[in-house]
Amino acid sequence: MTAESFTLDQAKATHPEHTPSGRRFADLPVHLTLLVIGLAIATPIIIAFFISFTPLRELVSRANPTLLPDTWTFAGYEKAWNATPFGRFILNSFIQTGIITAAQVLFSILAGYAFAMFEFRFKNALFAILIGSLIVPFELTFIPNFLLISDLGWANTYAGLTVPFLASAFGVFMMRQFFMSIPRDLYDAAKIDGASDWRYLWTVMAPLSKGAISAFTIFAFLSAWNQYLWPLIITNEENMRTAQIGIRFFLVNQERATDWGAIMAGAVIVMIPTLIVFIVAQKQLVKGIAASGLKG
Amino acid sequence: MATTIEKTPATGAIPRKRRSRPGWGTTGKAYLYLFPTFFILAVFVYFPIIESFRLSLNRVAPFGSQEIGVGFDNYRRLLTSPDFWDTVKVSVYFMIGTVPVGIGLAVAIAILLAYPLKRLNGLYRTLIFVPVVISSAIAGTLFKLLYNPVVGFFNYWLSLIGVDGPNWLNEQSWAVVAVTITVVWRQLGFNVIIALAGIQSIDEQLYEAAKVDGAGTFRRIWHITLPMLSPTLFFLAVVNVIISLQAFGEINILTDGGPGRGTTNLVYQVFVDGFVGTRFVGRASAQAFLLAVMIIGISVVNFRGLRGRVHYQ
Amino acid sequence: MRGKTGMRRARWLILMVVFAMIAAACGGDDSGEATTTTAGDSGATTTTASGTPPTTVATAEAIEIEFWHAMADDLGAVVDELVDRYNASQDNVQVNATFQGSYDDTYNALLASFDAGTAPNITQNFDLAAQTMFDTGKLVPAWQLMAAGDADSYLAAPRDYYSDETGMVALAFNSSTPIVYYNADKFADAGIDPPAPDWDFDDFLATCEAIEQAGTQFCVTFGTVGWYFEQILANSGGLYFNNDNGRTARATEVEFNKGQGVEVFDFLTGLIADGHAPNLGATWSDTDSVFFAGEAAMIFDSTSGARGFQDNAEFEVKTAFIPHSNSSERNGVVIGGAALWLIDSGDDAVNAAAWDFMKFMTEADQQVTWHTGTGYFPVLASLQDSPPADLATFWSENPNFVTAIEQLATTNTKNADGSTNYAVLGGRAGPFPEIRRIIVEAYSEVLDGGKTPQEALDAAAERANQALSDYNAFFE
Repeated sequence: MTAESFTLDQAKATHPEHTPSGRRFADLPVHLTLLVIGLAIATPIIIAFFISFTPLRELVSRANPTLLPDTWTFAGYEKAWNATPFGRFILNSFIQTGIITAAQVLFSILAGYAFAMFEFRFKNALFAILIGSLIVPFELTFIPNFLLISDLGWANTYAGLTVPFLASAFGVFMMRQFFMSIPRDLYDAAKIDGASDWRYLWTVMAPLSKGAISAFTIFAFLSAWNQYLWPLIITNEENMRTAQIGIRFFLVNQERATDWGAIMAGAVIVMIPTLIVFIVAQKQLVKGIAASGLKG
Repeated sequence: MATTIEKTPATGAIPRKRRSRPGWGTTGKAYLYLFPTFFILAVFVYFPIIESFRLSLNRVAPFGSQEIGVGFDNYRRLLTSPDFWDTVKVSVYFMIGTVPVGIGLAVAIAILLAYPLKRLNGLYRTLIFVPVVISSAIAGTLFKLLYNPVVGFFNYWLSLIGVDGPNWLNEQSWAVVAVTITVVWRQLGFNVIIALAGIQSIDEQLYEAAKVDGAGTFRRIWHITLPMLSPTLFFLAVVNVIISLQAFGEINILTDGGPGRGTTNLVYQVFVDGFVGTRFVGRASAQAFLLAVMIIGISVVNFRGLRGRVHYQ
Repeated sequence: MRGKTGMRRARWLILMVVFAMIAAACGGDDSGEATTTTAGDSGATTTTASGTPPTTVATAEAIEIEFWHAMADDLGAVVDELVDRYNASQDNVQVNATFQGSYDDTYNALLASFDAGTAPNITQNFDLAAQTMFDTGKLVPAWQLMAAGDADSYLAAPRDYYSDETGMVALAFNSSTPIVYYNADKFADAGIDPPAPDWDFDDFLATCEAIEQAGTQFCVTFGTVGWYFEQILANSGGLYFNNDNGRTARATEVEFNKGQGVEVFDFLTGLIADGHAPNLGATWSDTDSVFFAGEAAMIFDSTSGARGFQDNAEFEVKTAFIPHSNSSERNGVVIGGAALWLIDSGDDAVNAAAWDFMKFMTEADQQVTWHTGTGYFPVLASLQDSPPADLATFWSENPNFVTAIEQLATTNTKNADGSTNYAVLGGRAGPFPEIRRIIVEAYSEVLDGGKTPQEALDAAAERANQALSDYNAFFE
């Protein structure tokens, strides 16, 4: 099964309880169970949303936590937005994520194409090197990378945030798999018509692979957006922090009683872009993740 | 992920013998296409392995300009230190806590989600998948509020059913549980998606046949869904084991490795030694190496498992 | 040497680039386009995005000075006010203040910035970092730029804390000590007197008993951070490190697991274990919530919180000295907080400009604003000996701001025989930040791990001594 052909929304006849029609009433327990589970899972996010509108005094003074504030306030958002440059953090995150995603997609297409279409020396060795890098955990490389980036003077720059992640062995692999599934006749025909590899890649292969490419794009976007350890160590200027690191500093550096309203406001601000991506591109996202599980 | 190897007969992909050696012309062209990827991998994956090993044989001054060669002393001291084994223990606790629970929940939810409902499917999926886009930093922040002894919700809810809630983040045994719950939650969307994909790729005819034989719902789940899902379960197990070993963001925000060293796993100790307070980069590198050995070992097991799977298919 | 490894790394990178160019030259077919664009892309990324350039270039216009600090929220607002005041006061120097996060974060950022070559001109750095700051060799010590006798305008405690053999290395800017804040209403309800200045652990526990009997759940709340242990140990006359607290020679061993240390740690862990204090972990903020909510009658915190507590509590907040052990006399406190450090930019004009700003920050007007806005005490001797009228009025109206000053003023800096009381001068050691973390862990060894305070401190001492010897190895 390829990433392309797979979609979770084909809720087709693949369930033990598959019933072709009718029996809507019998579905009720399933509806209820799913609703309860769904709400339970979404609860932390829902709570964050309501707490972000609750004044601090109300939070610490009321006997029991309640979901809805007695008085709704935007003070948390004001405080979060003014005390910490969340706007800048989100911009940084977008720049960082944009560069990483664009480069990973582009480079993966190029390298995937080479592995799928060309015969060249040391191909097997290079492929092994590529695949080998997949099992090297980030924890092994981040200290030397930190020192290297620091020596280059790239700490606190977008270069420092992005350059180590511009390539993705997983992406190369995914692209190669997909390109190999495209009939080679097309390639031979294009060659006879005198098309160069470069043209063939961008005018035939890439459009044919839109599904796989967009699935990988979203996958890459999310991994980059959610990066934590690397931005934490490589940025120390407030202006260069990403959204994830921004929320951490905002939380840890509460000077007096923790203002949960403001912190949840910050969390909501940071969550919104990904929630939008999630809602808009849910299908692509799910496809990309499922593809990583279904192995091409 | 490493697990994507299945379709790659890594050794037999290129029918070498039948062709003459590829010319340097094509090779040059191919190398141009490959260059950006391999340049980055060389500089930021392969070179650091060597450098990391070199650092692990040294003691690096915390104030940043001197190194003393100590041979394998960092390793010797780690392997004989109870502190190191405590961090290994914490890593294993997280593994035991997150993997079975996370996968079990995910499969149960996926089976429900695969039920062919006429409507509201989209809503349930949205609610259930949503943690997929939540970062570890946000997950930690949201749960830090829920666990808070003063303004938090968990203990309030527990008190409603007459349970006196624990001091989640400030007692060692509960802190491990608290971090585990958070990691399971954040990982749940991903796991459900994978499990659901696995369930939906099961051949429908198997169910029809079982139905004809008069098997009930649970028997069908037990005898068809779960066995057919076993490759997916294996994949989930491996991925979740690696993710649990790499748990960092939640720990950093929820507990900072505490109380005491109660939630300091290997990754966290590498971070603390390398980047917090008095920095001992050599020791951190040695630990990173030992951690990498564990993770690579698991990845190799994974390769083996997948190869086995190819055979039985 | 780091410099050398840095070079090695850079050389390796150059090699890769050369390899890249050769590869590109060899290729030369249509797809060359791809590589060129790519190289251009990443090049552009680095040049356009490389953040702040080094600020050390003196121009005909104002000299720009980068100043890193660790003051969040309200405290940060006062820092900004002072910086603005400085920038408005003259045209030659423009100071850019950047908030770097907590003390730990700022310290980590500074060490990293030395690697990266992005170090600021001035950094605010906390007490514990003093030895490592000395060892970096990247500072311009304050005594190089001070006029003779300048150092004497500072209070002795902050002056000596940040001095080496020659004189003051850093300028104490925000100095603090821990004090006890208490809910005066709760004390009135329980019918007990304000704590005596020299109260010991027994007095403290008696107070607890009365408060809890009057119906308050917790007597006190405090985070299990290392600071209160250090301070109450000093107040009880105990040393933290050998070699006179690391003041007469590099510390080689800790002393905190002997004598007073055990009694103090027994007291602190006992407060939590016996239910007098909630176990909130090593926090600086959750304790506040408990105190503000009236669940605890007292809180240990820094004097820098005086403004925040006074303004935010819905009850009357009063302040007291910290207690000392039963088996000791009151010794007094070590100054905490942080100082301003001048990082050598290699350019005398820039260093002088940075120094001008540092001096400005410790001048009387600024220290008064700082003190009244925060609670950090003024570091100038003159302000305490003969306060200007408005400050004197402020103190009489805000007695909470005086407690820390008196607590320090009444500290016994000399022993009875006239020798220096090293306990209250404070410990100094390279890996002090790590050792403080070890103490935080020791709390949990007692509270969760079932160890006795003695056992936990012994284990902590073993690890701390290892850290000391690893650190000191660079100076043998």
